[in-house]
Formats: sequence, C-alpha cells, structure tokens
Amino acid sequence: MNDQRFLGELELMILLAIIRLDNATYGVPLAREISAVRGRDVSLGSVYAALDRLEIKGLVKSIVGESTPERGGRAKRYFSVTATGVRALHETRQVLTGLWKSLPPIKGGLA
Amino acid sequence: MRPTRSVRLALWLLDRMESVEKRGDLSGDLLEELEGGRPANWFWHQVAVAILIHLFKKAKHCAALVAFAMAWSALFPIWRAICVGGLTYSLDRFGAVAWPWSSILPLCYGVCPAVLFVWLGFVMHAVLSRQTNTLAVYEQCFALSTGAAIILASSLTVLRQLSHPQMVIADVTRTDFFLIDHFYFISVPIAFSLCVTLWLGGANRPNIGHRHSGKSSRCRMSIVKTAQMLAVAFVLCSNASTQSTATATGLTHGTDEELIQALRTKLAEETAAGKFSGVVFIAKDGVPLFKQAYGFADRERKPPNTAQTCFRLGSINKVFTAVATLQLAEAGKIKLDDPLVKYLPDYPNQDLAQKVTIRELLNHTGGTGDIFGTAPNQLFSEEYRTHRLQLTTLDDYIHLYGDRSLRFVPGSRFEYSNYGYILLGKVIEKASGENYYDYMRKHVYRPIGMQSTGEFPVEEKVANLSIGYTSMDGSKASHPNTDLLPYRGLPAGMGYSTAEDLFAFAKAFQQNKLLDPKYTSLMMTGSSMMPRDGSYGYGLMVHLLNGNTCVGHAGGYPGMNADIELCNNSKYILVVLANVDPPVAQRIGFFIANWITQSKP
Repeated sequence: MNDQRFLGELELMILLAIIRLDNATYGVPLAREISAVRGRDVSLGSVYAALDRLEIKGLVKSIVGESTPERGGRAKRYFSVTATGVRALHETRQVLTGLWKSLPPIKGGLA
Repeated sequence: MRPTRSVRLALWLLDRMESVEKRGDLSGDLLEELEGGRPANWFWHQVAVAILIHLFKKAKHCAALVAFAMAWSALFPIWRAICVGGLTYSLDRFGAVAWPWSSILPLCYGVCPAVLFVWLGFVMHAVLSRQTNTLAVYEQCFALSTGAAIILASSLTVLRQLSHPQMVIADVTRTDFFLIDHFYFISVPIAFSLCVTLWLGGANRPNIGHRHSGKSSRCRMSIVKTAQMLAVAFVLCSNASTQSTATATGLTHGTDEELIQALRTKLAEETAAGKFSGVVFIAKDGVPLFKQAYGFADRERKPPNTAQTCFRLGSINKVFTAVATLQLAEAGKIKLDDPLVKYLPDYPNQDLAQKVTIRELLNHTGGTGDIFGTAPNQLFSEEYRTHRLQLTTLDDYIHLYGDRSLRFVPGSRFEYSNYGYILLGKVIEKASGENYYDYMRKHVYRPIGMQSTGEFPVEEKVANLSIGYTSMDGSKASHPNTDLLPYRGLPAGMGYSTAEDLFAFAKAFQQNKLLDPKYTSLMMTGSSMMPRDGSYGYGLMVHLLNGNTCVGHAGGYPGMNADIELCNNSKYILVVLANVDPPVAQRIGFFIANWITQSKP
C-alpha cells in the first residue's frame, strides 16, 4: 500500500506501544502504556481514531477476543502490528534518526 | 456492581456512534477502566472527548461532501449552457406542438441537464476521492437513483409552481431570474440531491479488505431504501400541498361569470398589496365583458386610473409598426423579401443593409441587435443612458447604432431586436414618403378611431397620462420612471394608448379593417420560433395554450407593463395595462388567457 504519508505522532506512539506489549494488546493496556511513558493522560477516543487510521493504512490488524463481565458483555479487540507496519516503523525511524543526527548546534542545546 | 443509569446511557451512546464491528471496543474499555477503579471524573472526561472526536470526524466528512456539492452546483450554469446551447434551436419545433407534448421542452432543457449534472458530480467526486473501488455497483446505482429521484421530484415541483396562475413559466426567461432564483430553484435541489447521493453512495468508512457482513449491509440497504422513499415522498407531498392551496384559493377555469368573479377578487388583492395599478379589459365576440381600472395614474395628485387613462405600451407599438409595414406591402410599396439597402441606401453598415430583409426585421431573425443593452442583467447600456434625451428622431438612432454589424447570419436565429423595428420605422418613412409618426396617425390610428394613441415626446402635455412607477433600478421604494424614458415613443415601443383604443385596434384588426385577410393572417402565423415558448409572426407572438391559440404581444419596461391578446380564434380580446413594473400585467394576462383557453367553445 503506497499511501505514503508520514506517520502521525500518536500513530507512531501507538505502533511502538503495541510492539512493546508483545504485539498483541487491546485498548486499556495500550492507553495506559502510552500515558505512563508520556506522563499525561491520553484519551481513548483519540487512540481508537488513530487505530482506525492505522487499520485503513494496513499497518495494524485486529481480532476479536473474549468478552468479560467487567465490560458489560462487550468483547475485547486485540491489535497487532503487521509486517507493513513494522516496515513503516523502520522507515520512520531512519528518517527521524537521520534528521536528529545531522542537527547543527543550536543555542539552548538540542542534540 | 451494576453501573449507574447515566453511565449505561453514555455507553449506549458511544456504542451507537460506532459501526457494527467496532461497537463495544471503546465503551467496553471505558467500562472496564471504571470498574477497575478509575474516578468518575476521568470516565466522563473520556466520554466527552470521545463524542467530540466522533462529531468532528462526521462533520469533516460531511463538510467535504457539502462543500463539494455546493461548489459543483455553482458550475451548473456552465453545464446547462453546454447542454442546451446547441439544442436550443433544433428542439424549438416542439414548442408549437400541442400540450402535453410541448412539455418535452422544459424536460429537455431543465430536467435532463440537471440529472446528468448530478451523475457527473457523483463520478467526479468518486474519481477525486478514489473511493470507487470500495463501492459495489449496486450501491452506486442506488445512490445515483436516489439523487436523480430527488432532483426529478423537485424539478417537477418547480415546474408545477411556475405554471401556477400566480407565477408564469416565462419568468424563467428573465435575465435576473438566474441570479436570485437560481439559488433556490436550481442550486439547492442539485446540491441537495448530490449531497444525498454522495452520502448514500460514498462509504462511511472506506473498507480495505473486508466488506460489511451480509446481515448488516442488507439492513443498511433497507434503511437507505426507506430513506429514499421518504425523501421522494416528502418532496412530492410539498408539491401536492402547494397544489391544494392553489385550488383552495381560486379556480383557474370555469365560466365567464366565474372568471369575472375570480378576477375581481384577484385584482383587488393585488392592488391592495401594491402589486398592480392599471386597467383590465376583456371582450367576447366584440362586446365588452369586463372593464375595470385600479390604482392611481399619479400617486401624488391621486387621479384614479380609468379605461381612458393613457398608459405607455412598451413593445406593443411593434404590432402597429408591423401593421403599417404590411399595409405598405399590400399597396405594393414594400416587398417583404427586399433587403434593407433598397429602402435605406445610405445606411452606415452596408453589409448589414444588404443581408437583412424586411421579413427578417419583422420576425426578429435579422440579427440587428438591441438598443437598450444586450449584456445580461444590465437594464440599460451606458450608451443609451448618456444619449437618451438626444435621440429625438429615428435618424438619431441610426446615427448612433448604425455602424454595428450583424450579430448572426440573418434568418438563422431568433433574437428579439428593438433596433430592428426602429429600422422598420425608417423603411415605412421611405416607402410612404411620410414621417413615421404622421403615417401612423393618418393610416392606422385615426381611421379606426384610436383618438388617444400616439408617441408624444416627453415634453408634450398629454391629457389623462399616467405616470409609471418603478423600482427596477434597485431602489427600495418605487418612484416615477421619468428619467428612464426615451425622448419619444418609437416604432419599437413606448408610445401611449388607452384600453379603449387598444380594444378598438384589436377589433378592427381581427375584422380585417386594417389589412386584407391575407395579410392579417400572415401577421398572426408563426414564422420564427421563440427560444422559450411560442412562435413569432410579424409583430405578433403566437402561443399555444390548453389546445387553443392566443395571438398578441406584451410590453415591458421599468414602470410599465402591457399585454394584448386575441384568444380562441379572436373570440376573446383581452387588454391589460399597468403603470408599475413588469411582469404583473403579463401575469394577469396569462391568468385570463389560461382561463379563457380552457373554456368550451
């Protein structure tokens, strides 16, 4: 799928977080992971919106899991990163590290 | 622990916002977190944000559709010009055919281009958003048929509205119709139907690999089908309701007595509302049937209008000019197929003079152009405004406009030409050896007793003259039209007459007192097709209405409107004169003609 727009900020974080959680996770732990690393709360609505976009782009796939009584009988949906997604991550990483590396010295320090 | 009612309601709402497969993901997570010990504040904050995100996503999707639909509908005039431009003159043949086949014209000119336009917009949008590959053929057809149904229903509603006695389908031909009413009558149905088409046809969530599960898509189809039927039913209902109010407020045909009753009510209403001010005169078999004046000839001194009040005629002078031309043809002094140069050898533009014949000047196929300004939505050209009072004789007009070249090959098209009739006036002068105004008085008006008819210069005092009131130049209140009038009445229009005189004229004309039968019937036979409806004889417009023929002419100008018609083989003569802006007299004329032409002989 050659819809090559750059990965959004939240999308990138979500992909990384999913992989950190053994590449199979659902909404609750995913959101908690991101907010833990970020230091602030993240809204589940925006996480799901980002997951939607990722699924359309083919970078993430989902399967329906078991339902539990705590969810009022609703099933969990488990997300995992696809091979395309991993490739997209690597590309983004290359681009970003390349840009970070060749940063000239700036007042206030950045590198 | 069972969650509270408000929590359950919120979760239900979040569920409803998602599509079937995704339902329960977000709400389940939120419930799990809440049960797991998150504070209630956190939960409600999350719910609020989720709803906002969802609304924003929907708005973005819809906004894009609406913006596209509106932008696309703004292009409709161009499309219509492309579609209709070439067709205009080849299909006009059907205008002379009896109703209901003549309704093929508005269908071809109006509905078909609009439907095609909606389809084209759908295809354009699909191409631009590259979603075609996610739409099944049946979904696309379904969406297109819904859009087409909506626009068909609304077009038919509009057409029915326009043939309502309160409105005339000829209103569609006015140049300012397309500015204001375009947005209501054309853009809105197109934009709306296109929007609905896109919404139904465009996938709400573009799918990449998996289609909707069979059950949910069938469900969706049935919901959409119901919506389609409801939309069409809604439009047709509004159409039906307007029809029923029409019949509730008044009949449109019946006996002569009922016509008079209906007219009295209608004219009283319109006068009270300030819409009409003038005279209405109807005669049957040469005997006056209805003669009533309304309003004031002068709003300051308040003399009421009467059947002897002089009104400006607008273009009705063309009928008189045509009669004069044919009188001279009868006397052998003019040959209709002679080129103009034979009578005006010194005409400035020799090319025009050599190519245009008298016949072509009579039925507006000469290509001689107009004097008032042919730019759309411009009442008067700068030329006319600056020279208005300097144009005192016909020669002055030729001096000013004589260099202009032909607008098209003579005989190939119909284009209403005021200047063409001014040239005819000059031809009359040359062929008869008399000044145009003297000729008209001596050979047309006086012989049949039209004592109060003429083309008096503005500075001459005329008894019983009415002042025309206009607001066509955009001013808020209507004011006298004195600084818009030409110096003097012309062969093309703007002379004076009264309702009594016009009745005398129509009677004499129909009784072959002005011309012999051959030339009378020549004038009344359509020889060129008018673009919108009807045909034009020589100085007379021929309309087919409810299976009967009406022959006559209308005249319009800021502050005045007139209509004279001979209907049902000249059994009925009707004259409507008004000293207010058009199209009030023509509307009333149409109401009466529509009524009369439905009477049994």
